[in-house]
Amino acid sequence: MNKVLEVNDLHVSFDTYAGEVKAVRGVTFELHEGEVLAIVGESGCGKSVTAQTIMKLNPMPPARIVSGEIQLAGKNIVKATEKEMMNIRGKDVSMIFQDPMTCLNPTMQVGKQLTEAIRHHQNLSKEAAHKEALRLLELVNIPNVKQRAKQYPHEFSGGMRQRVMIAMALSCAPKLLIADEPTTALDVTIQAQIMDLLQEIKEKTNTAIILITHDLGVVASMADRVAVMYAGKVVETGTAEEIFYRPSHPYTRALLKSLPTVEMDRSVRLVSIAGTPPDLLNPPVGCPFASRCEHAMKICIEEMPPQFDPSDNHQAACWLLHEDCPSKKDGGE
Amino acid sequence: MIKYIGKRLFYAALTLLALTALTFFMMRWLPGDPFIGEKAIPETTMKALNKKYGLDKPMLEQLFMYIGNVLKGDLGHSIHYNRPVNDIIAQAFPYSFDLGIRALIFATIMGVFLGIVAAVKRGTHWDTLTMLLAIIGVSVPSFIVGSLLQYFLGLRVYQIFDVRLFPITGWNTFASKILPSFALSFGSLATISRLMRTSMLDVLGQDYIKTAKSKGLSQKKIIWKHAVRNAIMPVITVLGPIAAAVLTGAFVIENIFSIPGMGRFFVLSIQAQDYTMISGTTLCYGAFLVIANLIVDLAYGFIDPRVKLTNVKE
Repeated sequence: MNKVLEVNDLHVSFDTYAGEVKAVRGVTFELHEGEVLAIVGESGCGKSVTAQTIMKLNPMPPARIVSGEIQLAGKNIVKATEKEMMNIRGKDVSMIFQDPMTCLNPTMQVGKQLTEAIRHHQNLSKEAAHKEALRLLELVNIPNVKQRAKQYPHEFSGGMRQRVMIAMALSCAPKLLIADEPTTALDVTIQAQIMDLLQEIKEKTNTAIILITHDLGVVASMADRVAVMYAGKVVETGTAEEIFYRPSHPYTRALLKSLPTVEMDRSVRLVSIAGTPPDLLNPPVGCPFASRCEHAMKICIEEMPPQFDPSDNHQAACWLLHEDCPSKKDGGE
Repeated sequence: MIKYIGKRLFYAALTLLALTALTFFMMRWLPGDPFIGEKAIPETTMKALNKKYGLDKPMLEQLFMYIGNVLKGDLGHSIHYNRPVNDIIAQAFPYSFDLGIRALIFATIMGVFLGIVAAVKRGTHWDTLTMLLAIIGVSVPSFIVGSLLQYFLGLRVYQIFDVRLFPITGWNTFASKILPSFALSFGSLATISRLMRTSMLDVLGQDYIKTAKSKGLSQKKIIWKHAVRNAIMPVITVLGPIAAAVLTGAFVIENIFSIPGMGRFFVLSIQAQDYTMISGTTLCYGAFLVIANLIVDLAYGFIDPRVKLTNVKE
């Protein structure tokens, strides 16, 4: 399998009046053709910033790539100029956003919004581009494409608009598709349809997908690998199976514990993680989760844990996994 | 669409009718009459004059007669100028219209452009400079701008460089039209540019701009193809009131630059209590504004597809 994307020790900061907010603090992951990587984590953990940095969509300033590298299709995005980025965006990598109600231009015909991207990257005539746009709309299961292409976004429902967004993102057969919470703003029934569509498209086109979400159900149904982010760091990565059945990081375990299950008694209150994530203006020296972690040790507060390998294809940054850790010696939890 | 325009025109006619009636009564409630002057007029002469102009009839009858005449296209006979009001308006309105339209177009185009520049270059010197200009424009009255322009660009340039770049007064050559149009447009230009900047900043933060960027479009294409059309709506909205401001502001500018427009007649007719003339000019301005607002409302439908110009059933 070909490697599509490689992110290496990425640091992204925002310069604000209050100081430097370290939103992403050393994120490393890679992605292969036809693979789905889910990035999960609570709001503000840096998952969207990471995704947008891959396309350099964050306005810079205030955003700033402090260090690290992003290898996409053989190019280092971090060093790419704005002009080079214009060639990469939409062609090598494209993005689906969270809220389909606001991400289409309300004063432009849907068909035209599609052909625009096609004509920007492919040297097609107006008619050919239009035909291609109709084909894409058909691909995402929109009926009456000819008529629909002439309509404006307000004449589409939320789910339909998200389909249009997906069609737009696919228009130039990108190697990588970033879906930033693609179903969060949709009804549950529509969510399932959109996820099915993404799955179908992945199988048809073999595109690599980064799926950003905090819906663990969505992750379980689609992701090959999962990266759990917390306070700007990837605290645990592994295959979906490993993460769901053998979570190693206390944060991942707490996340999974907070999910309601079908068998759950109604009288049982949902479990939540006590405390709040750390302020990234002054991030802690040690493990960022230490203050909320029930297993926290002295070292957790003093020193950042490195990545340990609890099993094959599975890494977690937690001192509990160190071989000298008492609980580890006792044979784990 | 045609039904909508028809309906709007019907309401426009009603508005103008109400305007005529209101002006009519307000004029009559003012103390004095059109014939008041330095010398006292003998009672017999007064009676004859009142009879000649129909002022001896009951008020309502006068009003209905006037409206009847207006509907026939006759605005009456000016008491002060002793000429038909139709003639005076036909002679003076083209000047005022020309001046107003030039000022309005210049203010809109320049205002929108400066607003875009300020928003796109937010926080830079361009932004500061444009907004400084806007604050000056909003706070400095047009007659000061006009006088300064006359003095520096009209007089000083001639004295120093010995070239007649801009005539100080008049309204005949293109060069002579530049200073008055600019002076008249300055305030509106400032308002529009501030509005456009705010609106543009709002639009540039929208998700669909991010979408456009993620497609790989250039900054230029994003601004002109995606942002401007969405950002221009508030500007369109204020164009109606701005047309009114430009029209009423025209009197001062016409005076300073000696332009034989309607502003002078409008103000003098009020001083002279020239009933027919006041009604005539008010009606003319009123009609102009009503049409301007109708055009603005029609423009909505063309710019924003979400605005449908049809009659919504209650």
